[in-house]
Amino acid sequence: MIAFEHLTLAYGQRTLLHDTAAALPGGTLTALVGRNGTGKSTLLRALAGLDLPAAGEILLAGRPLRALTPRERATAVSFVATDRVRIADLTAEATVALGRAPYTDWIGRMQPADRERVAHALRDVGMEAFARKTMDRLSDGERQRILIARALAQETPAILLDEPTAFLDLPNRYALATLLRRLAHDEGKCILFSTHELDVALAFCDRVMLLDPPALHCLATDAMVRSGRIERLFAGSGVVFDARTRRVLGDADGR
Amino acid sequence: MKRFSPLSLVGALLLAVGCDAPAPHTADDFTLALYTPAYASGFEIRGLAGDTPAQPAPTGQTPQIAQIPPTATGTAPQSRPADAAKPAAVPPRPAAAPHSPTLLTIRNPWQGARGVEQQVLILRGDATAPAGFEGTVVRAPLRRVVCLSSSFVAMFDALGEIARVKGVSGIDYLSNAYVAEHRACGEVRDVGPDTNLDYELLAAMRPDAVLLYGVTGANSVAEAKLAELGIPYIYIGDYTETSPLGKAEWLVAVAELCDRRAEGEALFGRIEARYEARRAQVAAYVEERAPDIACRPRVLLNTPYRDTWFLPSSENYIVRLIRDAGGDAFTAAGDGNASQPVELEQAYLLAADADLWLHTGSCNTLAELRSQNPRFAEVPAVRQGRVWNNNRLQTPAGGSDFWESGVVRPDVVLDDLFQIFYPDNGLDYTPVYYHALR
Amino acid sequence: MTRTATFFRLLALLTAALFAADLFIGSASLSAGEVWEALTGRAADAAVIDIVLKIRLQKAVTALAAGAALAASGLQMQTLFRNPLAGPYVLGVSSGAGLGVALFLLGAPLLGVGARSAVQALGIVGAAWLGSATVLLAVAAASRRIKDIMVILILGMMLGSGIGAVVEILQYLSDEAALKSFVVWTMGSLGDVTADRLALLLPAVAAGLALAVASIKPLNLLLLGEQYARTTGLDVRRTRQRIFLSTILLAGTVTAFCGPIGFVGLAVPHLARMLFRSADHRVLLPASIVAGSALLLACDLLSRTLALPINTVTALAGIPVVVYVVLRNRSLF
Repeated sequence: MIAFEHLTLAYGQRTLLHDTAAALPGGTLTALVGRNGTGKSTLLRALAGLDLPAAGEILLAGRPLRALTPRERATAVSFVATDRVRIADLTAEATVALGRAPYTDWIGRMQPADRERVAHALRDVGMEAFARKTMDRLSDGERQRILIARALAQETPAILLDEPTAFLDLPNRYALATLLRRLAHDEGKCILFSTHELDVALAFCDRVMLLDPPALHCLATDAMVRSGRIERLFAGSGVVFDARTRRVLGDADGR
Repeated sequence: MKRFSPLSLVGALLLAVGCDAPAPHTADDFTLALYTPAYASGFEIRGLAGDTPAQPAPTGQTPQIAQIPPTATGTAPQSRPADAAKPAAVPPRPAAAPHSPTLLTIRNPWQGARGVEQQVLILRGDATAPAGFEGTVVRAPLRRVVCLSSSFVAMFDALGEIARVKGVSGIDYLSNAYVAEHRACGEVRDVGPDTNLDYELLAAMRPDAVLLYGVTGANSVAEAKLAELGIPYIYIGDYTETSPLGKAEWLVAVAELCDRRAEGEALFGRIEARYEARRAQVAAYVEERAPDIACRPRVLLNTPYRDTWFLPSSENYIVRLIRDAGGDAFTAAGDGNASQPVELEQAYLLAADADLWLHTGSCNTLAELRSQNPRFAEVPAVRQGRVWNNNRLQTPAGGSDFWESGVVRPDVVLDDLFQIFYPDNGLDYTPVYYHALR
Repeated sequence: MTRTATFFRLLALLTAALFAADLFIGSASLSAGEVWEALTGRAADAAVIDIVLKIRLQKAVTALAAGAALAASGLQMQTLFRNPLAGPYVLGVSSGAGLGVALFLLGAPLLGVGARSAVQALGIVGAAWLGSATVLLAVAAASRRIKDIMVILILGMMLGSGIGAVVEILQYLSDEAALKSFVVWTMGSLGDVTADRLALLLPAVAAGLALAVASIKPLNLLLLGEQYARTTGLDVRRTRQRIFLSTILLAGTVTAFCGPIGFVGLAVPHLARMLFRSADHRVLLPASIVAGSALLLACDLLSRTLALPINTVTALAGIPVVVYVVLRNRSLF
């Protein structure tokens, strides 16, 4: 579903990834992990078509990303960014409705089908009670869920999310992970999200994409755990990753 | 036969009327030069070919100017009276038939204008304008006039036709007594600044003409709006004339609009004669006293814009007046018509060399002058109190009569300047427009 | 009826009332009957007809169009730049117009450009329009290469300031009378528009408003920020160009014909937001258009009654609105 080859990403003068490749089939949930500054956001932005990669080709359902019109791109992949959206007078429902933009007419009129999709998306993230509240009155976590609902309303086969669990409390983190997995497995979507929550990644995701500049490794979760690369992420930080229990242990825990 | 006699009566009447009503003319028909200004370059009055010339315009009594008493050394510096008093031979000026239309041509009435011309067809009696005529059409004498410049008001006043003025621009700045008296009863109205005219008032007044001016270009906004309202406008270009008499000569154009051209010519003739007489007298006086131009009083003009001084061009009309009064103003280099900005230091050198300082703008006391121009506080002209400003006659709002009646009376201005430059010329005269700063 | 519909009707009614007031009130005292006769074509007195039709009606229509144009332009600028203090002149439109007029009034003689040249033929209006269009096109050209909208905003403001400096030089070097003409131009005027100028102004404003309407959906998408707008399928570059073109037609034309009229474009979108409590441009754009007409008509009435230049009145009306908005500090973008 999402694939790239010979992908080179740079941030200014710094090369983040060099000649990397990966393929994410539909129906999978993939976690994007890596230390800060390794280019997680940059990669997601490139896959969403927001930035041009320094080199390489990105393919969405077999078609090159750069050949798509903005509208075609919008019906293929949706993106949840880290931007804070705090707009007065903009209701949660209206925000989610903006996700239907690729399908509405020139002035954005909503048809019953669009309204149904919006309601469905709100239910998916558990925010249907907040439909009428304005964005500046929501907490960060509530806002985050609305923006995720917006991406869901966009009804795309691929969804990219940048740190979607950042503002969410514990129960909601797991609720979101569960939702994403359901969307991937039951609705066949290809979902890639970046996260620092290792337990969420390992417990819910089918694949793990690990950034280790200039390289990128994309393996099934089990394979990734066995590969020893995750241990390398923690090298020198005073904590270790125990592949057997799939837990992060501090020095105090029996070492 | 009886039946036809009313008809023939009507026919005869028609013929009579038909013969009297003048046929419309094109601009090219006006080939008879009725008035070609001697000093002004911006206008000309022409009549229809075939009008017979009439008697010469009455010049009236030759105006006398005061004679300069002899100096203590016994030399009589006054000019030869015969030269001064003899008016220039006036050729018989042609006059149009009483109800004949005339054409007033206005040329280049604003700075930088080239090839700009306004044709004003002045109709009289029952005459009508020709079909294809593209200029301005007015009917003389104008009964209701709006003047956008104070100098126009002064022209009407000088001709004794001030009662025709029904609207002015900036009534608080006008010194004219008639206007001041008739403002309260609404006889004379203020139509607002020329850049923001009260068109409603103008439409309600329905003037016969609006006399306006342009500075660096046409007043296109006013033109368009006035054209839309069907109010004729005429550009009076006295502002651009560089000759002091040329400015005043425009009163003849105004006189034509009032059907008083002969009187206007006579009036201007008197002003011209006085001016020329005084000029000749000054020339002779100065010839005796200060034959070398370096001995003539050097005059610094105006005050600076912040730190920049502007030297007027040598063609500037004030500079010419000063020259005619026996002074020597600091002017811009070269021949052009533009003023020249000079730097503060250079201006200081000139100021240190100046015998007199004229036209100090908003400063009316030496203290004000010093505080506004601290670096020039100690120049000789200021220390000796030889600073004069041209706003001795001023309205409470600050409108100086120098720019109003002073335009029409350059001879009086010349008298003033002569008195300022040569205070011991023995004449018993107090300047009218100028006062010394104290 | 919903809040939106009620307020809209009230606003429209207010605008109509102010339009009528503008026709019935003026410096030449005409009775209501006389005005009505002139409007319905039954008046006999040519002066009355001229005053009502050629002066008052044209002025009222100008105020209506100019208010709508400035408000619509201001709204687009605020959303595009995500800045509640943006207005129609934020890209240097009024500075450009000022430069054109300054060159025409002050510069032509300084530069020795003669009367018959193309410059003089343009007139003040042409010079002003050319000036603002040039500046805006320069900014639009720069924006094709610059991605960050904030950079474009700052570029526009710096360009405006730079042009302002050039205009000051021209003022410095000119004589009193020319200077006064220029200064009076900067005070704005609604009364100078003749019928054939209206024939240019109205279509330009209509075209600009049409472009604004076409940008309603893009503006809504831009509320979430450019990243979300782009991933939802918005061609941001094309949207910017459309908005810039709309601003040339709206703010540029109004400034060319009426001089720079401040605060209307800045304050009216905020008034619309306060009244309608909506962020949706399907509501805000029509609301701003009608409110803009109403505000400028009201300011025109005040300016005539108090004999103040129009810019003074719009400033007095607009500044409290802006201060209020800044103090309340709601997150508008």
